[in-house]
Amino acid sequence: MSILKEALKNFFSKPSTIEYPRKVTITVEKDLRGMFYADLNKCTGCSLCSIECPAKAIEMKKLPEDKKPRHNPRGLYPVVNYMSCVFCYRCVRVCPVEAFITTPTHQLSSTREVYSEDLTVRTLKAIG
Amino acid sequence: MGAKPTDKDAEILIKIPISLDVPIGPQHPAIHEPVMLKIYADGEEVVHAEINTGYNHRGIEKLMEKNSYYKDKFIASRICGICNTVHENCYTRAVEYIAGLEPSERAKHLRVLVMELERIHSHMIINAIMAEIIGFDTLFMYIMRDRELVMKAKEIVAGHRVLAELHMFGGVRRDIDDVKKEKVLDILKKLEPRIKYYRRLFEEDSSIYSRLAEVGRLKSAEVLSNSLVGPILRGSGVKSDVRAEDKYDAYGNIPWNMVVRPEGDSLARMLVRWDEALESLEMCKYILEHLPQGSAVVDERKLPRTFPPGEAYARVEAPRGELIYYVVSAGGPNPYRVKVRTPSAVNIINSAFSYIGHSVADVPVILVSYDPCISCMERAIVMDLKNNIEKRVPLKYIAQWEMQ
Amino acid sequence: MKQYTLRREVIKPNREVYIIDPAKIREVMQLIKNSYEDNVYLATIAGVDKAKENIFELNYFIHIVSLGKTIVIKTSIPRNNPKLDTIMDIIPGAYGAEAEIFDLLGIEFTGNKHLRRGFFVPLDIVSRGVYPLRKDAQV
Repeated sequence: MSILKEALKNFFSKPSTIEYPRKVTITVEKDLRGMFYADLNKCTGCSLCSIECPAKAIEMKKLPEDKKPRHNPRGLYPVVNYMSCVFCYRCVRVCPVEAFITTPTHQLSSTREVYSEDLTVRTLKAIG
Repeated sequence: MGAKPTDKDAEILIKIPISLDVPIGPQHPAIHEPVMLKIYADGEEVVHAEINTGYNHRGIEKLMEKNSYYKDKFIASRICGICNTVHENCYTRAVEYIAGLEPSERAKHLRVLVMELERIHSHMIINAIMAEIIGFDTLFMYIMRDRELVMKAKEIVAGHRVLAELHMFGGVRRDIDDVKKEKVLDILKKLEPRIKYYRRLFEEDSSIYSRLAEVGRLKSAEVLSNSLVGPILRGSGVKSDVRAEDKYDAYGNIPWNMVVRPEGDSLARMLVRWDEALESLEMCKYILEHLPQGSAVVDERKLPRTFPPGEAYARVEAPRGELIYYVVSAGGPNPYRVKVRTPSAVNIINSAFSYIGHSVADVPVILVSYDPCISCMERAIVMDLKNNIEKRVPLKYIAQWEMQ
Repeated sequence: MKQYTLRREVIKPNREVYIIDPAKIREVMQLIKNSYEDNVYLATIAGVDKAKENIFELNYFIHIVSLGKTIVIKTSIPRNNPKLDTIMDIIPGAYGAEAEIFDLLGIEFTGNKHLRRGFFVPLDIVSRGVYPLRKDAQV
């Protein structure tokens, strides 16, 4: 359709502003590079993800003594700072046991710092 | 501040700040300084032009010597936002030449697919900006709306709309299956009539023609001796394209034509870009129909940590011209020297001779037809030397200016 | 061309390198320009600081359009006296490259009137007299 006809048609219709975030109409692909967190049932605490991160966004923290699983003798687990992360997924690909769970969640802006600590620790409690 | 005007009695001095290649990186290098294009105007005509530069690209070369090869790949793709895939490709190929790794055929075709999609959306954005500068705002809005389709296609293939981190030494990081292939073919089918319509508009519309034709005419000898590259070369009749000369990745297997126009003015350069966008669309359709079988994804856990000593020089055809990476390795996990030469650097810095003799309202048209990597080329400072007043005006205002 | 060449090498992927004496750079450029009837352009000039061998190495990358090939001309100059002749009157496209190398590495091109510090480097580093891309510079 030529520009003139399309412009005249849009002149008489209602405004096309999408009232985001009240009405969400964006659909994203299922494998968009979004929020991710570590699964403590697989993580061995080798710290490769923290060494290889180009943005220095992963910090290793220690688990309390009584909760250390057998496959994680050092008791370290990664905590991602989503405010520094650039979502390049280098950590996800370089992990030797593929311990990261990925989601397509991308709406992560907030006024406070957001970490992945709660999501990671919850995976350990799920197994009991 | 202003230098003194020459003895040609210039009355108005215009300073246009431009900024090039802003890196969005994890570690921020040197201070940001804009490029200034100082133009001395006598009445309506430009008599002299000077360029003052100072951009923060150089902090990246020192930064790359301190990080490992893998982290440098992520830094390299953040030098430019619009053409990040070609920066990644050039760096990856340079390191592959040093280390002797060879990607599979399917990986080469996927790399070309992402690079051609990026070429389409980069050419659409520069034509939209040209339309906005001459005052045709409606066309600007419609081209940007259709550009969203290309971003969706990139998201399906690579995982992200803007920064497609698809390359890795030895192959790619993701693969596509049949469902994704059908979705991308649908998008390309919707896009093709729109691009053909815009190209016809640029050729036939009388208002675009009267602003762009015969403006900024460059002869082929001038272009070659001043080292300008890209659509500027091809818009002046020189047959030179890196994709045809080096035949890197899969360009030897895909049929395509080089677009050359002999006129040399701004309209020829913009039409070269639309024709290249149509060629890229055909190439993307051909690749999706004829993808070779095999595995394309590289296992990142098995790549070497240190690379052997050597040098490599890789060139690639970015949407703006010819991009060069020169990597020197002395053994070890960090590179010894990385040199990056972007096409916008030579196109802007070496082209100060071409503004002379034109009127002031033609200066933004010529500048945009050279395709600077416009991040914030928004404002210009107009100094009225007679009354000693300084005003800040947007660049659009100069393009529609009538001198009092 | 053979009379100026000291040594010949190849860097990847398949680009020929000619190593020449730094005093003869202008004659070599004029020879290349004449023998291909001006169908060449200078892609870029790259400088490498080799602190261990005490030299600066300069690479001139020239692209010949009619053959579709890029060749490399390599010279070395001593680190404590970095001066070289300019080629701007033969090839005006060397303006950007020579200005950048002067500002970042400190190599002076004699005969080039447009060299100045502060072209790329921010002014507080210029006032300390530091050339940022040298291996012993602390930035």
